[in-house]
Amino acid sequence: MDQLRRAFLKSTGMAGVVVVAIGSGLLKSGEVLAATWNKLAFTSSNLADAMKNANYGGATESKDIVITVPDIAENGASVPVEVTSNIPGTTSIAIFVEKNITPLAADFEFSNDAVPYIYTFIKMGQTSQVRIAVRAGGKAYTLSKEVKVTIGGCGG
Amino acid sequence: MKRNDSQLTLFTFALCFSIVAPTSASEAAKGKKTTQLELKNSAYATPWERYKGWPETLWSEFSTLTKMVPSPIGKPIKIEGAIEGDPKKGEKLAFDRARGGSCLACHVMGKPTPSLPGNVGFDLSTHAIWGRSDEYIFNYIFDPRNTNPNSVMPPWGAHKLFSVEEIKDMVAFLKTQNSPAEFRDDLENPTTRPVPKEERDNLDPFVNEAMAAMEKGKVLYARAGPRKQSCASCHAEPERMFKNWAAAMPKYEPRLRKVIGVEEFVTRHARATTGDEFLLQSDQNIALSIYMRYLANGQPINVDTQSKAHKLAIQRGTKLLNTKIGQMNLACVDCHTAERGGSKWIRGQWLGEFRGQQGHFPTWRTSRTEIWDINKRFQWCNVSVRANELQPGSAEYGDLELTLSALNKGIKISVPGIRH
Repeated sequence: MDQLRRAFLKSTGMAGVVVVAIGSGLLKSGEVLAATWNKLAFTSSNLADAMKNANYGGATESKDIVITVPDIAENGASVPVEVTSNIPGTTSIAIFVEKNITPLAADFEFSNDAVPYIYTFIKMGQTSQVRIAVRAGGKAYTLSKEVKVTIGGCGG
Repeated sequence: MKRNDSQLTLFTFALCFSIVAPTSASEAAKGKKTTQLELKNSAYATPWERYKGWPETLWSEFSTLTKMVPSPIGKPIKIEGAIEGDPKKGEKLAFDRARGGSCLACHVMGKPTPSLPGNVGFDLSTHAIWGRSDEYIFNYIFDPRNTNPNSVMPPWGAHKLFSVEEIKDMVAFLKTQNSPAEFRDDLENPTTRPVPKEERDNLDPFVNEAMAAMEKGKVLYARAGPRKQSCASCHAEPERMFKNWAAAMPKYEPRLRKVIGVEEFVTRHARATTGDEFLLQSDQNIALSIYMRYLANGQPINVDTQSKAHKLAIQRGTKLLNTKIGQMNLACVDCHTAERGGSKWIRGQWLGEFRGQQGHFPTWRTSRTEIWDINKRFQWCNVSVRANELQPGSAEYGDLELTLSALNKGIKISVPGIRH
């Protein structure tokens, strides 16, 4: 499975995916291709506002979103998140961390026929639900999973 | 009994051997061409300074792996009747992470139960109904060695981590613990929390940032140093030449009278050949060390355990594994053998046993977002138990690395590793 993913990443080189990874700290807004920095969404301080401002308002629960996150994250500063959307016509995938000061962590847009798959690292301030939102065919879908941010034993 | 055979052999072996004089340097090269090593200068940046961001405290009054300081067992303190402590203050102290990770690192306690407690020690959520006297509880915390010589709990009072008054407050808090802990889910309960399995693909550069260091090491290998020579000048075809080399490291080096690992070998061999200065713990040293081990990926750890010098080194290393050090008074075996703290949770972190702890260093530590070699890992263990660390490349760390590698013999090398 991992070998497949590695091969996939090598062969596609992520081509066809317009990555809007501002919230995850990977890119500065000026570096992002044509996408515009949705300041309102990325600075919203609660989940409902962040989802609404990022255009995922009124999202319905969907089991067609596959989320792979650790049950217990070893470091809140670097939590791996892997998402596949099995919803036909997916045009974007966003990651929200409910208990972060600003819940929207990242928003990825997919051009035509791009495989709606993302693998990234996010920051989490504390144990929280990680909520994924997907836009497909003009509608919003969502699913969440809890990630516990662990506490070290040896004094830190 | 989870303990594996090689571990048993080592422990038994340590008991059987008596002290023998160190191997003489003349055993070195028997007619064979001697590897070029610079032997005089320090392999690390001097003076040694602890890493930025690590605790700055020095615990010089307590034992280290080189210096034994007596730790007299605290005299039991006579307490008449009930202790009048403040349970609120006691709770705060018990949960305070400033002095050794808090009681929750090893014990379930508190109402409601705080998140992700450990289970190295007993679940204390019903301690109040165990029928222990205040005097008993006080002295157990002050210095458990009085009551239970096998306890791995630090002597909190005798080693001055907490004052007499503070321990009295903790006793008062323990007396409020009268009903079983309630856990929100199976992950919160350390007895049902699933044992973590390392299934990440450590050789995928998207997963493991240390793969970039491996690439850097590969470049350094081929890059000419100050003497216009590179590693590749003498060792072409590294994939073939070094397929097994790292699997047999570390090795006793008679000229240095200590065991050295890949890291120090890189430092001293580069100085003697290419003229490069790859000090221990430098990015370049770690990069090259990762590359050299990467070349041996898939090979089983195959350190020499039979030569006289190595038998002696493993004997010394086994003794070190059992040596209690620091203000916390802990030995490696206290946290990493199943009959003590091993294969249990220390707060939200799993304490692994010795088998499985080699073959992946230098490793990407996701909980620190840094690459650590085995020396830095040993140093962190020392600092975590509040003992002064040794310098990288210390003879004691060399003995420990060899001993740990012997306990992991047969495990396949996969470097750079990835761990919490």
